[in-house]
Amino acid sequence: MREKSHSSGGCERILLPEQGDVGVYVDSLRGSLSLASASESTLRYLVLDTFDWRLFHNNLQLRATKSKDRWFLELYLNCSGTLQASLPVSTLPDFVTELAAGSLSKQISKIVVPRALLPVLEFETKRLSLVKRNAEEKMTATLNVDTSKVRLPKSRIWHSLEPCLDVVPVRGYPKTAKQIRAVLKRSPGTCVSNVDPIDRAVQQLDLVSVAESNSKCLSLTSTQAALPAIAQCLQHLLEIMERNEDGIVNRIDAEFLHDFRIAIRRTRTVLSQLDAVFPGNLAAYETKFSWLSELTGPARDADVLILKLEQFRDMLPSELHATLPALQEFLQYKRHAVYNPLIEALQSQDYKRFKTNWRRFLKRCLAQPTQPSENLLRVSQVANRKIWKLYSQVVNQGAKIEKNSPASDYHRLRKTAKKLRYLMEFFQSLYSSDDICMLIKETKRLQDNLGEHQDMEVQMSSLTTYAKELGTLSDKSPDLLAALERICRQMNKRKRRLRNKFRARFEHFAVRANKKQFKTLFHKKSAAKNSQ
Amino acid sequence: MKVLASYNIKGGVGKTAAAVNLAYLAAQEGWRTLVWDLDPQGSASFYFRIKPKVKKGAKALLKHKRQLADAIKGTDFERLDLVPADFSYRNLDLYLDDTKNSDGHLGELISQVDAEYDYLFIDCAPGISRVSEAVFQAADALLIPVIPTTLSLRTLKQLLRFREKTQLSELKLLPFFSLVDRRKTLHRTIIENPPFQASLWLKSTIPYSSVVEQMGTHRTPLFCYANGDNAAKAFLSLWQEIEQTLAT
Ligand SMILES: Nc1ncnc2c1ncn2[C@@H]1O[C@H](COP(=O)(O)OP(=O)(O)O)[C@@H](O)[C@H]1O
Ligand SMILES: [Mg+2]
Repeated sequence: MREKSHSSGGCERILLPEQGDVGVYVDSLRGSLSLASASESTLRYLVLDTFDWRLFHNNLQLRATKSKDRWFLELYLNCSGTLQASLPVSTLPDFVTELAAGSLSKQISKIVVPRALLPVLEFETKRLSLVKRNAEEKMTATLNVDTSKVRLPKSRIWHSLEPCLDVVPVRGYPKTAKQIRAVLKRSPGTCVSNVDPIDRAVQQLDLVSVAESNSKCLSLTSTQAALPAIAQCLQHLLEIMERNEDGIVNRIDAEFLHDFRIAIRRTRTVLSQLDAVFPGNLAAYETKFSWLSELTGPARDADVLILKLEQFRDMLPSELHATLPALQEFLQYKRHAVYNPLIEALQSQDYKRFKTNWRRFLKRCLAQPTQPSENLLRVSQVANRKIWKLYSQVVNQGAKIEKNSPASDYHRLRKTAKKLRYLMEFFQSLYSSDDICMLIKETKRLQDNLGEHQDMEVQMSSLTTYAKELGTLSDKSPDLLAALERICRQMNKRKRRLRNKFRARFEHFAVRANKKQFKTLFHKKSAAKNSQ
Repeated sequence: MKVLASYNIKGGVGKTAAAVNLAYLAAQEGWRTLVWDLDPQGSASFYFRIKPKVKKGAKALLKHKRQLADAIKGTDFERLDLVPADFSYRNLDLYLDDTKNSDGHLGELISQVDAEYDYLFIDCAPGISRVSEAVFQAADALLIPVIPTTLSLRTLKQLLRFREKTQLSELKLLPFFSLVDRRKTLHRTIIENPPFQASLWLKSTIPYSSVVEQMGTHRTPLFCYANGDNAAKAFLSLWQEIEQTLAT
């Protein structure tokens, strides 16, 4: 928590002179700083993180060290190396939910859930520790000389990191460490580095792209020809799909499929909305992407039900809580079943061939001239036209919806709003970021209402089907059926509440101020023409 | 954070030896552990070679002039820190009397470091006072070393009665036999037929051992110089039993 003594040293690590023997250097230090003799140790630990390095992005590092028959988990603040929490466990957890409630799970749950924890790096550090003691022979600072190597967990190849020197203050004795640091900084050849070993590992192993945020946007310029620009974005979406395939096939966590599906949906939006930009007929690709959507739908629905288990607990009276483990087991069994055909499809030749063709097609599009000409549209023209059209559609469809409209009307509006948002995000870099972000946010708020409404629909229908199925089983549990019924009833209530709120949400979205803003950004025909 | 207080009305029964060695084991196991040396004599601080001094004294802590976290010193061992003793602790009773809700006050102070540590071991001074009452309020359990002699048992009885009176039913009492000399008939008899209910007692016992006495010259937990010794094994088994008991 408060770590005054540590902050005095902050992130500083000292890199040793490039040439020369570490041993000789250490010996000389020992003399000049009158440090007690060195002890040697080897530290081996795994760094655990999510597939998309969420802890790393939050400046945290979760280390797992094996010790005899168990593991120590330690959560550090990157850079400063402050220990935030620790927890001994008997086996490495796949999910945070497996950890005993406490400081560690509290600190990382919000960041990590629903992702799995995976070993992302393996470190082996040879550590030479020199100790500074006071008159009472009490340790007041440690000087660690670390020679580390690092590798990816499945790789055989170790990468060596430059040796570095770390002065670790003992809490409550900040002065000693400060003095040692001052001496070291003055000594020739050393240089101070603010980089945590994990950052150096990420650089050296060329993991920068992985460790970078997944949601990076492509930057377009408004005068670019539309086709190659759009193809470039589609290529990026294809990369995201491929990056998530392994995680789906190995059933690691629900986010892989989620991200895979978002990439598909974004691709489909582009294909259907911007088809005029492409040469030739897109029907074959559209069919395949729609097939993928349908294929992944049931698996995503199954994932969502499992992710909602905690919420189900809140929907149930306590006497039905005992049914939750059985419900969880049943839902997991269902999920396993619906993932099977999906995994098979992702490993099929057919799917691979499709991707090859799609990639080739995108390459051809990319090869088109990047300057717009007579018959090649500029990317901003296309974007404006389509976004404006979708916005008008959302407004029209929404105006017609009433409290008792069929769910399909809500669903249709939801899909249109989603397309609108996707296109705005897709073309985000063409517009002033404040303006477009504001409109994306407004759209998202409308969508949240519609999305949750649709989720309730889908989940209620799944649970009802499951209840019927369970009812026919010989070992059916009346409590479980009662629990399912209860959950559905609660969802129905929630659905009604969402419908009641929809009007206000929609009116908020369709207000004149927003309309004006949409119009200024996307409906400026004359301005566009003049600037040519 | 779990708060364990090493307590007995009597002195010289092994309270400090237990607090220091058990805290060391907790830290070794991976828990972030804090020892608070609440005895103005400062034996626990001495064992960790830390000066028995808290800047501005106990009063500043209790009056929130200083944070408990600022008084913490690191020991030579990973994950193991200490709040040193201070001569002013001998007046702790008076300061507690001064503050409103004096019994809850210590707990409030302790809660400042709640997120930083998994275990807090309080090494108490002997006697029964305002301070010990405040400790009982703040603690999850009392570790009570008892020498198997008739006189020692009497003081345990006092404590049990005291707990009844003060309605501290949440507080676990974990007495165990300490300084056990198996050559003595009295020790053997008492351990084999423990008084009160047998279930009250932890099964592990700490033998009388010169290795424990040597902590005074080594000034470290005994595991650093006598890891294989019977006394070390006894503390380990005691710690495992305590952890299990706390988990249920
Ligand atoms: N198991 C033991 N065997 C031998 N001597 C012990 C043992 N435990 C404690 N001692 C010694 O007895 C004295 C009192 O122990 P201490 O732990 O300081 O008791 P307290 O804290 O209850 O006053 C110390 O000199 C200590 O070294
Ligand atoms: Mg003592």
